[in-house]
Formats: sequence, structure tokens, C-alpha cells
Amino acid sequence: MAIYTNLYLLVFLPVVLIVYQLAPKKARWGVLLAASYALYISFSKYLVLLLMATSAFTWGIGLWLDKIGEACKAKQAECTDRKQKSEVKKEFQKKRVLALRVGVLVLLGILFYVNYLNFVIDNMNIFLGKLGTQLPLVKVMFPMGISFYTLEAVGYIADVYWERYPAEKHLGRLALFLSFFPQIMEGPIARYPDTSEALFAGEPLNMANLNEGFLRIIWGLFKKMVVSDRLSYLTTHLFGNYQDYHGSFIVLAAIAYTIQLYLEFSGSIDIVIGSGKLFGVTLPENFNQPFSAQSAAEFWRRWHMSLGNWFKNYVFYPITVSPMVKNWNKTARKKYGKYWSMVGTSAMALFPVWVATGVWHGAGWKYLFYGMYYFVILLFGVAMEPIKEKNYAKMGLDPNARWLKILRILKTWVIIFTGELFFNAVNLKAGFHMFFSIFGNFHISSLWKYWPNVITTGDVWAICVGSVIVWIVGFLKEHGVDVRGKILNARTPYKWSVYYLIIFAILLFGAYGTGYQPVDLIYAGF
Amino acid sequence: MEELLEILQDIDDSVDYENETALIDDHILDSFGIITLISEIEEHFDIEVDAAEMTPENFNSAAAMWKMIQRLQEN
Amino acid sequence: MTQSSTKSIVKLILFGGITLLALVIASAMMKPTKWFDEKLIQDRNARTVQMMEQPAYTIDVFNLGDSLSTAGFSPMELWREQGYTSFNIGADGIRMQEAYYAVVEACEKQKPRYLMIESLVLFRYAMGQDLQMTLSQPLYHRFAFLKYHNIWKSLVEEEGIMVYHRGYTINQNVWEYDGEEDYLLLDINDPNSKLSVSALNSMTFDRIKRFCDARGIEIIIYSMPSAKNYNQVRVDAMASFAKDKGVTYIDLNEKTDEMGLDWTQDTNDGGDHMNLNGARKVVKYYGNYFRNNLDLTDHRGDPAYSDWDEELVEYDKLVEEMEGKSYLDIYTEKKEKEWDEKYRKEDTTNNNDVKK
Repeated sequence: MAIYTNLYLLVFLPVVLIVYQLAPKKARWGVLLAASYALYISFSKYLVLLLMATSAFTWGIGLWLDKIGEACKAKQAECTDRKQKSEVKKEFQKKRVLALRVGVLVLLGILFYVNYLNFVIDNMNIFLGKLGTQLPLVKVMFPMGISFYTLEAVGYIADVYWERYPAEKHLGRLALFLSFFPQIMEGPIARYPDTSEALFAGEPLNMANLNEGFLRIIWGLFKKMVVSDRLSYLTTHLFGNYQDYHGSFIVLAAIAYTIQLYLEFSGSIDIVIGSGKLFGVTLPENFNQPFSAQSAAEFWRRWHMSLGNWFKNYVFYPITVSPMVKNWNKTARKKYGKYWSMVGTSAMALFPVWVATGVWHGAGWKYLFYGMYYFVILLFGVAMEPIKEKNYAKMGLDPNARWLKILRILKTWVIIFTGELFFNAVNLKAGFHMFFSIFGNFHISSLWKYWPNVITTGDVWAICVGSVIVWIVGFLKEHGVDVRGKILNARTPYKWSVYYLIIFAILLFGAYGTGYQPVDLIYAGF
Repeated sequence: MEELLEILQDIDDSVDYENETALIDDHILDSFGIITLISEIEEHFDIEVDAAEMTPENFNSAAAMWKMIQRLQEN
Repeated sequence: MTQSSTKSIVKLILFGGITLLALVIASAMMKPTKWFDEKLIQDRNARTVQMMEQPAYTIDVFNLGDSLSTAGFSPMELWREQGYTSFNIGADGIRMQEAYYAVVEACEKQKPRYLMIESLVLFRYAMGQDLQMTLSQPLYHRFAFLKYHNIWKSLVEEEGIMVYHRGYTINQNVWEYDGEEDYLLLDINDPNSKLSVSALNSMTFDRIKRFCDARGIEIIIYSMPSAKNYNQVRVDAMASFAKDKGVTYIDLNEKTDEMGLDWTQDTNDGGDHMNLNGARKVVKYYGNYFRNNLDLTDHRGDPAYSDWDEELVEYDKLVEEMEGKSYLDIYTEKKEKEWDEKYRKEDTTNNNDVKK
């Protein structure tokens, strides 16, 4: 039961809302937990046991970490001087590190087993084949949302290790955090203190939340059903038959897929965040007008933000302040100077982040390539930063000039479209084929002539008008206009008119109906 | 505090560090700026900043950074 | 309850009520035959909509099922052979939930004697999608706005070129089936293919049967000749299913010799669907079967059915024009002609410039 289906929207959500409201305050979190597990079972059946075991395990590790911490403080209280206290701390620190390592390794190990082991085996078999042996593949069932809840669990354990907050004593609270039904399919990836209070508070439903959640949901549906789903017919055809196309059609495929991905992912996240809001739970944002970014680095601060933040907080920063990197940095500063040591440190931290980001999206060489693509581009950006500043000054240009901003945005778009071309190609080989075929035989006139072969006029109209509407709303947001706030604060007749406009736009122009295949969420395979 | 402000100005001199309180939240100081910042303050103030300190609370304003530096100097 | 929560509930109910009302009004406006030309609908609802345009109480036999049923049965041929009136009310890839409503809607102004159901629909099910359809199909039925909402596309796109003759579209492509002759002994290639009828499909069939029993419509289940879709397992499963439900089952796969079916001439896609040649043979078989076993009236000569004679003339003309072709061929030809005209003109203009 995916979040965009009528089952979820017309049956599941209303039922959970009603049961939640009717339940006593103390029991409401239980309603959410039961609903989350019910939804989970509908997707992954008995694998809900894995989710429950992961929750219990994470809870246990958190408590263990805190226990060691308390024992440490108790022993420290017995100490007489600072040196002794420091010794005690070191001793217990070893135990805490052990607990951290056990927790993280087990969680990531399960994720590796489910998502990546077969990929590794497949590739090893290429070599082993030459020796005459083959490793058998393991049989795995795919647990829904494992890439999301695993990261949330690892983040929680790391936060407790860093003593950012005390471990959660209530197993149910942690279980609800990890399994909350709107998040389980596509994220966003939340940090424990962000959502746990609201999840557990059991606050009754109120009109403000219902309105905001509802508006968010229908806006997300609009993006997905009117525009993104139509684009998917085009991209599926073009990417699936890529050998038959070249030049301008490949460019079209890359651009179309990027728009499709953005509208479908951000639209689904709107439905997710809206669902949470209905219950008074504020989930973290994932998108912030990513296409107004002026660099690839900025793009990744505006796209899939909860994932980027997770990697920043739990991979990038810890690596930059790790002893190994710090030591290198110290010697490098003396030997090579500040600039090169900064570039080197950035490279050392960025590399694992981008390997991980790439393969988080899937077990495949194209995903690894995707990650490395951005690694190179971002590192290049870091290295160029001071040089760029000097150049602007030399040429007498104001870096904030309008036309320069637009140029940078366009340059960023080219980077993004290219990245997504490789991301969605059937495999890495196909990606290269498609990319290079852009340059042989590029005629924009052939696109002009033959586009009716790949998409209907009606679809083009709906896609263009829908995209323009989304673009306008994004443009306003980027320039400080709180569109959502204005709608929600308007008087009821105006507010409801907006609701009805969106709803009927979806019902009239949405790509649904028998004969339309439900378009599977791109990110739901994680 | 003066030294800290000097270091910050070196990294990005377009920012008003005396009054800005959302350096991290508003992406004014990005992750690469943080790398440079940390190596600078570790060197200048002879402290070790570890992963546990990497929170927005500690880096959102010059004042918050100064508090953290003083705390780390004590230990 | 507090005053504000009552106010909230009133607001919610009001919002829902207005939405419902708007849907009802929009759906009433969408009722084809009242407000728009049913030819604007060329997608999978085309047959339903055209069915509803038929003069009341004139169709004797409905042919329901997926593309196997609509490709392999031509009502105009049946009219020619026996003077019986029939209509294809199926759709590509149809599922039972959709099939049920196809029957309900087709019977709004009709009371056929017989409903023929092509059996492949009973083997089509998938848990997730079925639950969805169980929810969405009744909604589409009750709110025509949801069902025909794509009509705006017809306003911006070119007119469709397919002509439906009582639910049948002419296809005379030939692509021979070159596989095993005794295909009933083979396994079916599709890993997703089901070899038994699901409980939900069985229940939906019961619903259709109850609907038909109440109207005195007799159901006949049959299997089209299809080398790609049928084997002994499926045919046997269907035979016992039909027996359980107390309806007649005809398996044309076991009658291909009797029908004179030629797998090199009678299929347009290598053994999946029948083309016009195959459809003619199917209809001939059924024509005789109906005449000998069922209680149907030959309407030839009846002035109330003169439109069938007129249509038969147009149909035969189109069949002749489209010899060996399908609508896809006609569309491709049309497009090529358009592009030639459009772009050859440009080339000559360019050449003139160059010459100057």
C-alpha cells in the first residue's frame, strides 16, 4: 500500500486518524505504532520481525552506552584528582567505543547483507569464474525502508555515544521513531530528538495541523500525478530503448528524467510530511528549491537534505576530526601549506561520503559512478574556490551579478542532468553509451520532428503547464514568499478554493485510471 | 575572542560574525569552511575538537564557538 | 464536545460534502451520449461508451474479456453469417473488477440473452493491484468524471483513427506462429502467469453471475485459440471452474482443426491474438454453435436493425481498403505522408536559397 494509492489516502489514513483521535491521549502513540507495523506488514510481511529486532537491538545498545557512562561517572566520583578521573574516563571510553562499534557494525552488516552482498558475490564470481569456482548467491527478501531506518538507528546510537542526549528508556518510543509509517517508504531520515516528542505526545488532532497536512498532501499528489507520472512513460521508453536514440533525444531523456525524479520524490515527500503533520509530527524537509542552486555543492544542500545531513553529521564531520585525518592535516599544513592541506582533508572526508551516497542508492556500478562523479565535481569546487575569488576580482566582476548567477545555475543544471542520465541508465555501460551518443549526430530538428513518436500532445501540455505551476511556486518560495502560509492563513472560502483547484486538477489531469500502470516510487526500493 | 574573529574573517570576510547567530543553520559557514576553522582553532588555542562537539549549537555563532573553546581549554 | 471541536467537525463534513457534490455534478456532466461525442473517447473506455450509444435492447450477445476477446471476435461477421447482434465490451488487460462494471454499464439499456466471457481474465490477478481495483472500480463506476477524466486529451490531440465496429477494430496483419503445433502441451513462458483462478476472481465471477441471473442472461465461458496463452493446465482448470459454477465452457484451443485454423495465416502477432482471418473462423464456429444450441433471433430483414446492414457495407469497404494492414500501419503511413509533405517543402525552399 504505497503512499500515493487510493487505499492509503482514502482508507488507511482516515481510519488511523479517527482511531488516533478517539484513543485516550496516553495510548495514541500505540495507535501510531500499530498502524506503522500494519502498513509494514502489508509491504514486507514477516520481515516486520527484522524491523522489530532492529528496534530492540538499537534500544539495547543505547541503554548499554548510557550504563557504561553512568558507571564511569560513579567511579570518577570516587577519584581524588584530575589525573585519576582522566584515567577512569579513558578506561570506560574503551567500553563505550566497543558498544558503539558493535551497534553500528551489526546494523550496517544487516544492511550490507540485504542490499549489497549479492552484488559483491556477483563481482567476485567474475574473477572466481576464471579459477573455475563460483560462490552461490544468498537468497534475500527485501525489507521495506531498511536503508532509511538503519541510518536513523545508526544516527541514534552515534548521538547517544556522543552524549547529545540520554538514551531512550522506553522501547516503544524508539520503535515508533524507527517505524513511523509515513517515513518508512521514502524517508526523510530524521534525528531522534526531532520527532520523538511529537510522536509520543499524543496531542489531539487540530484544524491547523489537518489543514497544513492536507494541503501538503494534495500538492504532492499534484506534482506526482499530473506531471511526474506522465514523464515516466517518456523516460521509460527512451531509457529502455536507448540504442534507438541519440543526440537531442538523449538530452531530452536526461532532462525529463531529472524533472520526473524531482517531482515524484518531492511530491512523495510532501505526502509523507503532510501525513506526519496531520498527527502533529513535523518531519524534516528534504528539498529546498534544488534547481536554484548555483553549484553542485549547493545543490546537495538543497536536494534530499535529510540524507545529505546524515552523511555530513555521521560520516563527514567524524572523519574530519578523526585522529588520523587530524594528524595528516597537521603535518600537511607545515609541508604543503594551508590550501593543500584543506583540499587534502576535504578529499579524505568527501571520498567515503560519496562512495556511500552513491551506493546507498543501489548496489550497482552506475551508482558508485554517480557518487564518484559528484566526488570529483565537489572536490574540484573546493579546490577552485579561492582561485575563483581571485579571478572575479581580476576581471572586475561582481560575483553576485544577476547574469553570473544565472550562468552558474545553468552550469549546475548541466551537471545535474548529466548525473541523472547515468543514474537512470540501465547500467553503467548504457550510461556511457547514452552520454557519448549525445555528441554524435546532434540535431535539434530531429527532436522537433519526431517527438510525437515518444509522447502525446496532451501529455506535453499537462507536463508543461504543471511544471510551470510548480516552478512559479518554487520561485516565490525562493524569494521569500511563504505561499503555503498565505494559503493556510487565508479566509476559508479562499483557502477551500485553492484546495478544490488542486484536487480537481489532480482528478482531471492526473495520470490515473485503469490502463495507467501505477508508477512505482523510484526511491521505494531502498 | 579577538583571535577567533580574526580566524573567521580569514575564512570568509563577508560575514558579520559579531551578530550572526545562524552560521550553520543558514549555511553561511559550509562544511569545508568548518574543516579550515577547526584546524585553525585547534592550532591557535591548543585544543582537540572531537566529533561529539560537532553540533550546530557549538558553531552557530562566534560566541558559541568561543564558549566551546574555553570549555575545551579547561579539560 | 467543545464548541470548537464541533465547529471543526462541521467544517470537515462540509468540505467533504462539497467535494462529493462537485464530483456528482461533474460526473453527471461527463455522461457520454449527453454532452459529448462518444468518438472523442479512444482509449480503453471506447467500447463501453459506444455500447451505451446503442439503441436500447438490440444486442443479443456480449463478448467480454481482454484483448484476446476483442481481437478474435467481430460482431459484423456474426451479423453477416447469422443475423445475430453482438458487441465486444472487453478491454486490453482487463481484470475481473473492471469486467464486472463493464457488464453492469453495458446492461444499462440492454438485456442480452448471452454473456460470453473469455477465460484469460480469470487467470489475471495480483494482490496489491487487486485490492486497489476493488476500491477504485466502484468509484469509477459511480463517478463518471473519474472514469472519463482523460477526455481533455481528445480536445488537444488529433482525432483517433481507429474505427470500432461494435467493439471490434480491423487488424489484418499476418505474423505466423512458428512454435510447437501441440502448444497445449507446453509451459507458459511468463513467470507471472497463473494457472488457477484466485479466490477474489472467483468471488467477482459470482457477482457477475448473480447480476446476470437476475436479468436472465446466460453466461458462457470460452477460451480463444491462443498458442501463447493457453495450455492443458489452464484449459483443465477452466473446465472444472465452469463446472463448479454451473456454466458452459467452450475451449476453442481444442477445436482448431474443426475451425480450420491456420497458425500461419490467422494470427497477427505470432500466436498471441487472432487477426481478421482468425476472427472470421471463430465467428463462423460460434455462428453455427449459436444456431444449433442457443435461442437467438435472426434479425436480418427487420427494419429496426437496418443500421447493421448499413454498417456492414462500410465495414466490408474498410476491410478491403485495409487488406493486410492494421491501424498501426495506417497511422504510420499517415505520419510519413505528413512529414514528407512538411519537410520536402522546406528542403526545396532551402535549395532555392542555395541556388541564389
